[in-house]
Amino acid sequence: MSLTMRIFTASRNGQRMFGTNGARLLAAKRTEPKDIVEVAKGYVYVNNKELSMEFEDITDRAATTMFFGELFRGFGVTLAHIFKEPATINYPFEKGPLSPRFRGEHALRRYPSGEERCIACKLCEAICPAQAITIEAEERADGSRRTTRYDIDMTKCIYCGFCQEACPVDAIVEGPNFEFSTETHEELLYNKEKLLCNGDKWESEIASNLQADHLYR
Amino acid sequence: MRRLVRNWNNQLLLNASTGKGQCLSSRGTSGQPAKAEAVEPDNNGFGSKYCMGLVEKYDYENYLSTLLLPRELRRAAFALRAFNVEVSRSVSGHQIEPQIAKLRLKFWYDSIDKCFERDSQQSYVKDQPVLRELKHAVGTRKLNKIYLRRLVTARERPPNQGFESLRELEEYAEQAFSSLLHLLVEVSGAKDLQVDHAASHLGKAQGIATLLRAIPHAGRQQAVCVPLEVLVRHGVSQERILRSKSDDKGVEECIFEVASAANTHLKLARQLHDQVPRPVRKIFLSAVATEGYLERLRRADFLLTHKSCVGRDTMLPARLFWKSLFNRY
Repeated sequence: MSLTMRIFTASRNGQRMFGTNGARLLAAKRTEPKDIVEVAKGYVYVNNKELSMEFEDITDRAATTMFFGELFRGFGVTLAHIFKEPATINYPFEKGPLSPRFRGEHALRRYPSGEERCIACKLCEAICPAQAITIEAEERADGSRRTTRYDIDMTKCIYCGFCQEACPVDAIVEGPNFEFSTETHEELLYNKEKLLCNGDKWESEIASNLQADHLYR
Repeated sequence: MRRLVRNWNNQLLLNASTGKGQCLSSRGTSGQPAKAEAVEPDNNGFGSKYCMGLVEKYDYENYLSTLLLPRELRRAAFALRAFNVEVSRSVSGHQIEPQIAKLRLKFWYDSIDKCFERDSQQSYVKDQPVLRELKHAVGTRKLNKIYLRRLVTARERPPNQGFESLRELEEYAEQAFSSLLHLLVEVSGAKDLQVDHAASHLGKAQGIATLLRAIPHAGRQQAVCVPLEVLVRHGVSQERILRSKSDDKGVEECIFEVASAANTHLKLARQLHDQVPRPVRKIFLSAVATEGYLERLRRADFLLTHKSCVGRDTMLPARLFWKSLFNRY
């Protein structure tokens, strides 16, 4: 570890490390490079400085060019990066962190007993600014009120999360899934089966995202 | 510790379900058969389990105190607490739009009426476990609709509207928090002026403590609950309270004033301890959690963001058990 660190720092700061040693040997004669133009007092000249024309400095520069000094320093940087932890992730197999408030693909949830949560109150349909949600409801034989149709046009949806906020029973949620691209438009017109299936698939993640410890109002 | 609590819960649940059976049969003989049969038996107690889970998740301290209630009250108490959680959550979730919060509150407001309707009427009540349990509670106990409605109407207050005076803050706390205690007292069947008095004071204390607790949680999403009157007296801005620096004397004074109002109400509620009949005292056990919070706040020099004031109180279960053992609150 310390070796790689040294290689890395040497390649990046070689000038500073070796340069100073070299400079110390010849310290007496080294002069500060001058500004190319006259600079008024209180200003700083930030462009290239005038190169020193002392014979020794000229030799130094010529030697750096002839022995490919910069080239080898560049190789040093490359070599050091082999040993460094990569800044990227191996995407389809590794995924970056997501906020618990992330709003991705929609899902319809169920209660732990398996009943659907949605009671067809149609608040999400009413609040949806893009009018992407369509609901039809009717009473079932057992008297419970359920949706017969719950469609979301995912190509209309703007992922504002209002449906999730408006739902009083936490039935429709925007889950953490963001990988649902399709080849055709029709596949993005979600129906109830697809949404419930999403809910079953993502339930554990969704449930852990909806946590709090204490009431605040 | 967590596993211990969970085991304990499971045992209590088992007791509760067996108790329910006894309860139903005894009611059958005592002359209320129509109502008892009208409310259909829940599938394996899923509704009550769901309510318990909800309260455990969102209102842990009161969950612990409700667990210590006598068996026959527990189901109705959890139903009411779960309803309270649902209502409170409609307004205090993160980044909720005020308009949307109103929609949700209206939904819960309407469902109260639906719970009081006769069974023959078709409604969504039986499809939602919390409402189903609430309806069961309404069907078996004598509950006042006004208190239930107050739980909702009190929270209709817009989040960006601060409190003018300490009185207004107390009024809000009374509406939103005492109503729940009144309902729980009604569940137990006690009717006593002193009990109502104690419930009112305790609710105020609880409400104020809860709102103080909400300041670091809600941050700039809603107005600071410290009343303007107090802020003006100490020359402190709401921003300074939100920044909550540990050496800010003015902020400390403000928080102290509000917290001591809560403490006064808590003490008043405790003074009535002897007039409160024994079975009702368990309902007021949530006072222990409020006292614990106020005490931690005092120890932390009224710094709301102090570590001890933000996290869970690990000793709470033990203290609650101790208090309930001696039937005190």
